[in-house]
Amino acid sequence: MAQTAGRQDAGLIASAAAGDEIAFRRIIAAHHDDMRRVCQAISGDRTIAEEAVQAAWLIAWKKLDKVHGPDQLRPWLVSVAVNEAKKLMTKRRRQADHQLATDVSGLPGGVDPASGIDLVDLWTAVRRMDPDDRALLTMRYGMGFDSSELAIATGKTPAAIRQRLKRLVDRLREDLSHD
Amino acid sequence: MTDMNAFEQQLSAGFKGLMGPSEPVDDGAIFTAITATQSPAWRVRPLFSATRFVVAGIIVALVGGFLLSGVLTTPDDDQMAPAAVTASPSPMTTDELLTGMVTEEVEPGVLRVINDGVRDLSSRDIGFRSHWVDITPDGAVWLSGRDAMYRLGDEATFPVSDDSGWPYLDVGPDGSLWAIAPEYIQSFDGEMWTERSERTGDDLLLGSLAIGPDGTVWVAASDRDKYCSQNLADCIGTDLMRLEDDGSLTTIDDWADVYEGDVAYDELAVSPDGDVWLIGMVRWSGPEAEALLRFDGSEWEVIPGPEGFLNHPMGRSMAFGADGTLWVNTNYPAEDDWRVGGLARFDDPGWTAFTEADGVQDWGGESLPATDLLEVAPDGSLWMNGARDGDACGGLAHYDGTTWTSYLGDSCVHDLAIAPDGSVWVRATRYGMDGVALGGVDTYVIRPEGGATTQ
Repeated sequence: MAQTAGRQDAGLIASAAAGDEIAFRRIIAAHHDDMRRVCQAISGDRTIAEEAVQAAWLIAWKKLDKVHGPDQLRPWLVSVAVNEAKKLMTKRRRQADHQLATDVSGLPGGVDPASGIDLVDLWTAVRRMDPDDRALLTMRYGMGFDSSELAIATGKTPAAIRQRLKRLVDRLREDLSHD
Repeated sequence: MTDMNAFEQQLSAGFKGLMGPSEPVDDGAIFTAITATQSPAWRVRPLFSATRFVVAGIIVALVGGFLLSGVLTTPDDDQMAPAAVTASPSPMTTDELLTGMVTEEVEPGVLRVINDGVRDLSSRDIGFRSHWVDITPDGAVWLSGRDAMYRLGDEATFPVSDDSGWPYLDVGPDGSLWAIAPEYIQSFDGEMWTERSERTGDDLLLGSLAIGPDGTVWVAASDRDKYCSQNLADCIGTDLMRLEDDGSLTTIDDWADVYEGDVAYDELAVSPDGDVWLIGMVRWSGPEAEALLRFDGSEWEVIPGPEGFLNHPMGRSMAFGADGTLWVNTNYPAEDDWRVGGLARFDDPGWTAFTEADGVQDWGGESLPATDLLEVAPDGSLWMNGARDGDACGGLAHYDGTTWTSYLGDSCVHDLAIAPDGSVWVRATRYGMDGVALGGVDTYVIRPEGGATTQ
C-alpha cells in the first residue's frame, strides 16, 4: 500500500501522542540533536541546552496531541525547546547574576573556513541581541526554517518575520564589519 | 522566503558553527529520563481510579458530589493547553476500573457491572440503538444512553448537546471524544459537548463517524427520507463528508466516477495510514458487485473482494488491526454457497477468507456469523457480535484464527470496545431461556484470558 512520508509522520505523531513509546522514541531520535543545537546556539551554554531539551521532551510527551500535522512537528518542538532555554537563561541570570555565554573558549578562534566569519565575532554580536532574535536567526540560518516553519515556531506572521530578519541581518552585517 | 544572498550564506554556515556538531542521540536513555523524572504533576490525572474513588467518595460525603469531576493538570500552561479528554500515557487497567464496582459473574469470564453509573433510565429501552461504549487512551470507559454520556463508575453526567439524541461516539487520536448528532458533529472537551460543524438541514442525516490518525473527522451522510427509518444507526450512507477547520462539511461524492449507480454503505473506517474505507452494498441501481471502496484523499478505488465473498453478500462491518490489516465480515451468505461467507482479512493486495473450515462457527444454526460490530484486539484476535435476522442478538464471539469462543448466549450486543489492556467492554441486553429480557441494557466486561495483559 503506497504511503507518503507525511502520512507516516502523521501516524507517528498520533501514535506517540497516544502513548506509544516506540513512536515517541523515533521522534526523539529525529529531532533531539537539532533541538539541542539550536538551544546551544541561543544560550552558548551546553548545560542549558541539554536541560532545556530535556524539559522540552517532557512537554512534548504530554502535549504532542496539540501538533496538527507533520509539518508542524519540527518547528513546534524547536519552539518548545527554545522557550525552555530562554526560561533557564533568565533563571540563571537571576540566581547568580550570571552573564551568559561570555566564555567563548569552546568556539574555534579565527575565521571559520566554512563561513568566512570569525565565530567568536559572530557570537559576540549575537549575544548582544534579544534571545527571541537569537532564536529567530538560529532557526532561520542554523536550521534553515522557511517562513511557514518560522511562523509556527514564533507565532508571528511571515511578513513580520521577514521584516524582523532583514533588520537583524543588517545589524549583524554592520557589527561584523566593525569587529 | 527569498533565496539567501552571499552574506546570508555566510551567516548560515556561521550559525551552524555556533550550534556545534551533530551528535548521536540515545533516544532510549532520553525517554527513560523523561518517564523517570515525570512527577505526578506532569501527568493528566485520571478522572477515575481506584484510589481516587475512595478518597473522592469521602469528599463527596462531606461536601457533595461535585468534586468527583476530574482535573486536567497542566503545570506549564504558557504552552499549548490540552484540549483532549485524556492524554495519559499510562492507561487505567481493568483492575483499577473495577475497584469499587459491584459486579456479578453471569457466565465464566463475563462480569456484569451492576453500578456502571448509567442513570438515564430511558436508555433501558431495549432495541433502541443508543447504547455505545468507547474507551479513551487513558483507559476510561465511556457509556452513552439516549440523552447523555457517562464515565464508568463516575457520578457526573454529560448531556448530549441540544437534540442530538443518538451519540455515535468515536475517539480521536488525541483522545478527544467525538459524536454525531443527526444534523451536526460535536466534540467533548472533558466537561461539555460543543457543536463543531455546520448543520446539514432536515434532509441529510449523519449516520457514521470515523477519525483519521491525523485527526481528520469523516462522516457518512444519508438522505433522511430515502434510506433511514426511525433508527439512525441503521441509516445507510450515501455521501462521504469531511469536517473542515471552519466547521464546514465538504462532500466527497465523486465515487460515481469509479462506481456506476448508487452506492450505499454501512460503515466507514479510516486505516492507520489515513485512507478512508467504505464497506456496504449497492442497492437500487448499478452493478451488484464489490462494495468495498478506498479513498486515499484524492482518488477512489474499488477493492475487489474474494471470489463470491463480497459480491451478493454485503460486507457489513470492518476493523483495522494495529498493523493496518483490514478485517471484514459479511452479513449474509451467498445464495448458492453459504459457506463462502464469514470473515476475511485483507493484506494489500490479497484476501484471505476464513470459513467454517477455519473454525468460524455457524451462528445460531441459521446463518454464518453476521455482525455489525467487529473489533481487533491488541493481540490481533477478533471480537464481534452476532447479528441474526436483522437483530444484533447473536451474543458475542471471539476468534483468534483457529478457535471460536461464544459469550453471552443470544444477547443483543449493542456495542463493544476493547481496552488498552485487552479487556472487552460490552453494552448488551441479555435474554433468559424464555426469551424474556433480563433487565435492560447493561455493561459487561470480559477480561483477557487469565487476566493477562495482551499488550
